[in-house]
Amino acid sequence: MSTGTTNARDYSALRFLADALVSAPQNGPEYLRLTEATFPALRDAATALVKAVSTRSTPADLKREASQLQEHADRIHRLAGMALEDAAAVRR
Amino acid sequence: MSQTLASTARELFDETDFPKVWQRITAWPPDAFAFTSTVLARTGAYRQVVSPPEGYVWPRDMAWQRRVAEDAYAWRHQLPGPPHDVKLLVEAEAGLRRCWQEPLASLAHPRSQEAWDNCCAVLGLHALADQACFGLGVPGPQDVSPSQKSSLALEANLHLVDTGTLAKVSPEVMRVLPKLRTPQLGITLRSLSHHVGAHASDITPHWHPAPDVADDLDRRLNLLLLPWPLEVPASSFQPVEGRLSNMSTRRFGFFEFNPPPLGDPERVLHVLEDAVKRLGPVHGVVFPEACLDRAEADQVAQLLKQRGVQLMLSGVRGPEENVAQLRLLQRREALTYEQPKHHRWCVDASQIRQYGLESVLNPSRMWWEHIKLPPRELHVVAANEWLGICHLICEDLARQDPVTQLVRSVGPTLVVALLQDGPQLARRWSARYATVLADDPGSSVLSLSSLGMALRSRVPGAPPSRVVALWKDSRTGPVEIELPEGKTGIWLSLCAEQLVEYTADGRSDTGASARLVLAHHEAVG
Repeated sequence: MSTGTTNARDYSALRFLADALVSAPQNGPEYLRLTEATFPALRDAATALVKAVSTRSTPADLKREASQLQEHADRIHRLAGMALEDAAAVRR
Repeated sequence: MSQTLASTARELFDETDFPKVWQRITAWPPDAFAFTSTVLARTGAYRQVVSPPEGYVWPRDMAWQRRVAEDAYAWRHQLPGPPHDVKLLVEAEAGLRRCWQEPLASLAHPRSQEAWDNCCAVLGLHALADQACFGLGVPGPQDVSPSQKSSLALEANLHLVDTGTLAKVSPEVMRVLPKLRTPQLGITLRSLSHHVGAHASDITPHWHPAPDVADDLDRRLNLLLLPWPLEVPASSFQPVEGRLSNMSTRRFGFFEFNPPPLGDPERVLHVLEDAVKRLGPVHGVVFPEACLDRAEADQVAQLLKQRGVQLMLSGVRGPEENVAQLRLLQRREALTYEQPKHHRWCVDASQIRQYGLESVLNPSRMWWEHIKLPPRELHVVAANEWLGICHLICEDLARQDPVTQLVRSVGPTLVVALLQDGPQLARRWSARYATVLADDPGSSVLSLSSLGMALRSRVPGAPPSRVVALWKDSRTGPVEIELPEGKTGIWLSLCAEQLVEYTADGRSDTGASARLVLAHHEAVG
């Protein structure tokens, strides 16, 4: 399986988590529990996402956190950064 | 022995005790949808929302649509706890309990007030479950009340990524998937839901939320079609040894398709630059079936990424493989959705003559494409509520079983078929199958072949044609797209129209649906 294919699955899970966190940051611990239960390998990146959203409230804050995550040495953290940036950017 | 609601519950949940089944399906709306879908499909009782039995009416009160919306909202927001004061659920519970051990046939042909009430209970629960699944699978903000500690949406979406279904029923029995379009013609079970669809087959669906790949503000997607190779010599088709020893070598053979290499990948940039300069941004680049080998695909993707192109959809070939590869390119980490072809192409004597392949393939034999058939998959990439893309490879558009039912269940707004085929004329097969999907579920369909194969096609009495692509949506007739002499690509601009769609049971989606239409196309390069 190529990295791009693995990325697609990991991004999907992290994106849904980021969408949920941006909508209800107060539920971070519960959302983290749900994510860990289904995708244990995403635990550290999911924890970083929860932390980023819980301490940042403005779109600019979220964008900055997302950018920092995308510079991370770990691939899954970088995907988490992408997911957060995309979740924060959605216009509705 | 007659099937009953109880025996249906045993198949889905391995349980027949009504209170336990009721507790399970009210705790998870996608499971309720799986259950009602199974019952309605087996009985055909869904017809009764447009043709109720003599002496009865549907819906039974004019406020039903509003009640479904309100009660579904209440149900969803009480999860994970048991629902209370959800009146339509109370009515459904009473109806299901009454007929739990009765033959399902009583729902198919209700002949009494009680039987009609029971039928309405199943139909009502189906509508409620559909409405409670609103927004599942679609990236974007989640519908969570401030006091809610859990989220149906997140739990369901994670389950979807993990297993390819929103329901917790075994995927081998039934899958419940997000859905983007509601068929507006005919009457099938799919006509009764806006937000989720039920499906059972050997195909594993993969539903992916995606980064925005288009102009979401203008609801526009611009694609650059590269119908390459521009020439396909007969020697691109070569007989090879097959691995099926039970097939008579007098009657059957296997072939490989290896068209000329791409050459300098920077050719792509020349066409891209012309398109951007003259017409506007390019969000995605599309190549036909088997156009690139894996190394070429990697090289082209790298170049397109550097130029800010967001997606690349290409047919990619390799030893015994023929896959469609959708890559999202715009970030540091590429996302790739790869789908093997479901059916082998079989080239018979008439096609050997049509494509002038007599020098390489003996017309007295049937020639099968020499590719592996790995487990079937279908990727649906949902960028937002108006753009959900799935891709098919050539035969998979024509061989409707089993993929078409799945495509209809999820209702992507755009289906792209990558082909190595003759000209994409409105009278040919690809247009017929595109029309089928444009009717139900209402998807817009783009088919793309190579100019090389279009020009190889020689039909007596018909002039050579350079029509390499075909567009079909549910509003307009098919549009043939030609590549003029001297040009090497086609710029295509698609716009999303907002639509109000209705389920057959009378529920509006209040304009949440979208249809992609062809706004403009022009040759470039």
